[in-house]
Amino acid sequence: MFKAVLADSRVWKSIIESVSTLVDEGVFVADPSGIKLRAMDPSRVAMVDLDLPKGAFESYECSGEVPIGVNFEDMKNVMRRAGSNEKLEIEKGEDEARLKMRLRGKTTRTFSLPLLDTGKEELSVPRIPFNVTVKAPASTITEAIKDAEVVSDFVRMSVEDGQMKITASGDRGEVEVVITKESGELLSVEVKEPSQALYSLNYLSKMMTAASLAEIVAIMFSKEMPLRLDFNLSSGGKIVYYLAPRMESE
Amino acid sequence: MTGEGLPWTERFKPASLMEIVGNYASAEQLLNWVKRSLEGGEGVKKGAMVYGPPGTGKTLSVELVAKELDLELIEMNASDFRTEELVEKVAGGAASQASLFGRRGKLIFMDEIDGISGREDRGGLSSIIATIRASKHPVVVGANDPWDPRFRGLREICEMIQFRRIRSQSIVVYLKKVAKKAGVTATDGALERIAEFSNGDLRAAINDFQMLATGRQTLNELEVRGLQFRVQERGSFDVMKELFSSKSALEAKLALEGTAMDPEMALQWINENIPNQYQSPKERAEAYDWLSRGDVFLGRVKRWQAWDLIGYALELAAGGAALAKSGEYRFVKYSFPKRISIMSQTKEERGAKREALDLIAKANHVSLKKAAFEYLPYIEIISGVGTRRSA
Repeated sequence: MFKAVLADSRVWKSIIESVSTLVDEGVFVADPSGIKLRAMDPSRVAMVDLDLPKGAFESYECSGEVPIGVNFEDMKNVMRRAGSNEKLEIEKGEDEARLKMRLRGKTTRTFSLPLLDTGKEELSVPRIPFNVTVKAPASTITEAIKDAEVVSDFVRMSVEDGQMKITASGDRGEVEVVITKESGELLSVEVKEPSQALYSLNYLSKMMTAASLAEIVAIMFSKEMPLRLDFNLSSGGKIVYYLAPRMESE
Repeated sequence: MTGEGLPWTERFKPASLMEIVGNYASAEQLLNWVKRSLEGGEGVKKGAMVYGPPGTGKTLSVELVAKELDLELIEMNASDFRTEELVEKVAGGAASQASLFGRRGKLIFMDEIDGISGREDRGGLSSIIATIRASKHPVVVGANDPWDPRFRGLREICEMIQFRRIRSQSIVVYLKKVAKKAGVTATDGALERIAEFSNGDLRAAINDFQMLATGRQTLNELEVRGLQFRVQERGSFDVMKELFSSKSALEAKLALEGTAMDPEMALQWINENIPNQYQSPKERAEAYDWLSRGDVFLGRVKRWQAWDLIGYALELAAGGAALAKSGEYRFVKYSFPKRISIMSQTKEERGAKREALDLIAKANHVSLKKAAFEYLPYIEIISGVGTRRSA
């Protein structure tokens, strides 16, 4: 038995959007402490790790561990129907093969979604020592990524001398975005070792979908190593993304 | 014991390359190619194609090579290749990024490319080629029939690594090891029969063995009596070889069974390869004579939807073609039926002709056939156009 109520259905809509940009289907695991989801994109280059503790919900009941396998596209389509000022109830009864999603507003609408019987793959998150950690307003990073997309499909991130540089170059030109502490846009910088690495913009821009849920993003990376993006959701909970670096061309 | 519920093929799977049975040399060739590919030396092919019948260790070798070299294995199969976008999203994404888990590198394996079918998947195939060209990691593709003309472009950029059917002696040796691990006492005769009937497919042999031995401690010859000979899908070129080397009509017909070829295609293949197989006019005439009789039956099958006649068509065509030889069978290079490529090349021309015939038939109130044979030749002469090729 699992039942959770979210005061604002749009939060769930944004969460599903931030997950579905990378993964088509996955398994939420609900237990008495909250809901978790860990999934990799089909090319196994990016991972999303979602953690929504009990406290992020208006009310939350769960007995034991309940796996909930869903098709995110289908769930996204349900959430598209959600209006503002609507509450969302998510419910799965004992031995039920369907997930009930109830939108409570002027009317009460109940959607039943078929559950997927996805074999549970035990995924562990990449264990990587990160040499650089910076925090910046999520919107600033979103803008920088959009700038880079004008000229290329991958981007070089580098942190040195207390400033972050996002540069891209391609056939269409070059761009350099500098984010400094002085401008107030770089909230904190921790550098164990100056580092830089290349990442695909295609994946990065998908991950920045989560910017609608959090004010601040923490970016962590090391030289030619995977990147980690942490979003602490304003509504409670956390979305973490991992992205493999793009290989430098010879 | 662990893995009690697993199929034996999984439970007793070789843990290292050294344990590969039958196709060890092929596995080693793959290992060497991946090593050279990682070093990025001169003259190394961009991709590799592991090919051969099912159950001969293709996928296993790829997995073990990845393990041996500590590479992250990204496996994909036919369902991931349906469209161009899917290939780009999955394979393309994997091909240009490093490993997410900080491993030394990646090995990308696209298995079952035979599963790409029809025209709508053409995009899939060309983007596989593009992915291999652009990939920063070694890419291996797996196929049962590598000589499919659709794979020509792929063959050109791939190191070709053949996996052969495994000899039954080797299968017996392996089954003995499995028997020991599974705690089953099986007689040599029983294992030999299982091996024999697996037709060189080790996976099938292990599955058969498990099926027969489940719930028993012992297994003897009598208990494996019920086993059927495995008929596998084989490549078209193998089928031709088997067919032309047959010593009886039955054998020749059996060569065609269990293939993906439909009867019409089978006759096309025989038609194409009679002159390859036979040099003497007498043999050729004999083979074509029987083929034509088979074709008569195939015509009846199609015209009357009389599918019960299909056996006659195949037996006459295949048996006749096989038994036309006056001496010993010798292996020749078989070729793909040209009819298909000719038909596609002349598609437009034939379309135009068909349109012209429609007009002629309508205007003169005659059948299309009559228009083709009695009207069109004259019109071509009068107008001075056309090729004077009769219909």
